Parts: sequence; C-alpha cells; structure tokens
Amino acid sequence: MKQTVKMFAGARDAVDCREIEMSLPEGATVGQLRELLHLQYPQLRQWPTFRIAVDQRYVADDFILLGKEELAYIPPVSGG
Amino acid sequence: MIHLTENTIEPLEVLAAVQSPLAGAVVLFLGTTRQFTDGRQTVQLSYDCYLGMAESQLTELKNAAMENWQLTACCIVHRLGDVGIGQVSVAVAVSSVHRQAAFAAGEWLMDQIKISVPIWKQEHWTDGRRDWIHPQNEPPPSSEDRIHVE
Repeated sequence: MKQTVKMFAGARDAVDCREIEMSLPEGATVGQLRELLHLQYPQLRQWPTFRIAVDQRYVADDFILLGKEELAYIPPVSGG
Repeated sequence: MIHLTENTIEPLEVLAAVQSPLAGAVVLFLGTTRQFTDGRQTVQLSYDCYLGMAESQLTELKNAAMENWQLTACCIVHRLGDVGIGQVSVAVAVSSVHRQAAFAAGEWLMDQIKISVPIWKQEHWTDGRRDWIHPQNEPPPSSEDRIHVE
C-alpha cells in the first residue's frame, strides 16, 4: 500500500519535500514505517528520536496501519 | 482558549481571557525572542507547525492542567511565522483559587509544550544562515503517555 507522510521543519528541508510517498507492505506497523523511512532517506537519521503521528496523534511502534491514515514525521519539537 | 496566530500576541488580552472573580491567583508566562544564543546573534525566528495536531495537543494539555490543578481558566497562545527580537512567541496564562496551583500548572504547561506540541522554531542568524532547532538531548516520551501529570 502507498501512503504519504507529511514532513516539517528541518526534516522537510532534508528531503526537500512537504510530503513523501512510501510503499508499505499490507498491515505494516508504525515501527516498520520508521525503519523504511531511515532506509530510504538516510538524511533523516540525524533525528533518531523522531516520532510518527497517525491521524494527528502519537502512537506506539506496534500500531498497525490500514492505509488511509494521515501520517506525519515529527522531528524533535522546539516550540516556545 | 487555545490560539495559534501569525499576529502579535497581546499579553493583556491573554490575561483577560483567564481573569475571573473565582480566581485568587493569575500567572502569565511570556516566551520572548532572544537576541543571543551561545554567543550567536539572532535576527528573527520563524515558526513551523503541524496545525491541526498542534491545536489538539495544546487542547489536551490545557484540559489535563485544568483537571489536575483544578484551574479556574487557562489560555495558551503561540505565534507562527516570523517573530522579531523581543517579541512574544508564546503566552501561557492560568488562573486558580490559590497561587501554588497557578505557578505549578504554568510551568508544567510550558515544559509539555516544549516536549510534545508539533511546533518548530528556525533561527535566522546575522550571518544569513538559518537553522531549524530540533533538540535531541531528551528522549521522546513513550508513545501514548505524552500527558503525564506528576
């Protein structure tokens, strides 16, 4: 299944794109998505503590993706 | 009230949002744009944001603080876009019956904003360089306990 992942701040600059498209196996978990992101975009490895948001919420690595969710790559935040 | 805005934050409006006859204490925190960081000079900051999620995270933090400290009211306003030196980038105001709750809740809210709300600042330095700030000195909170009130 194909899913897009929204990118922000330094991560957006690192991939030079607001969204990236990922091909995931059916039933892939967020943990698999994390691994694939770092395989396909080694420049993202500079943020080992990044999080994935699914439908605008942080989820655990064992969260199973169905293919319709809104996904976002959340590098370490710096509001305030 | 939760508000993300590209306009100037007016501290008196933030205060007014939490003042109440029921409150015996009001605490207002303002985060302002600092000119020097580790000896480097900043021209301005720019803020990026995952808008819907930032709003929902801020609302969850506000609700958790309201419940945990039995606050009278709580208001969080954060700037987006470009923010000049000395300007307010974030305002947190809380009111409560007694001051201890207001001080504690205000500090906790600011700490949590810096951990979990998807907002990012970019430093614009005087030499023309720009750096997104992605602090990595703290491990991320485990996945689903982002609101942990102590």
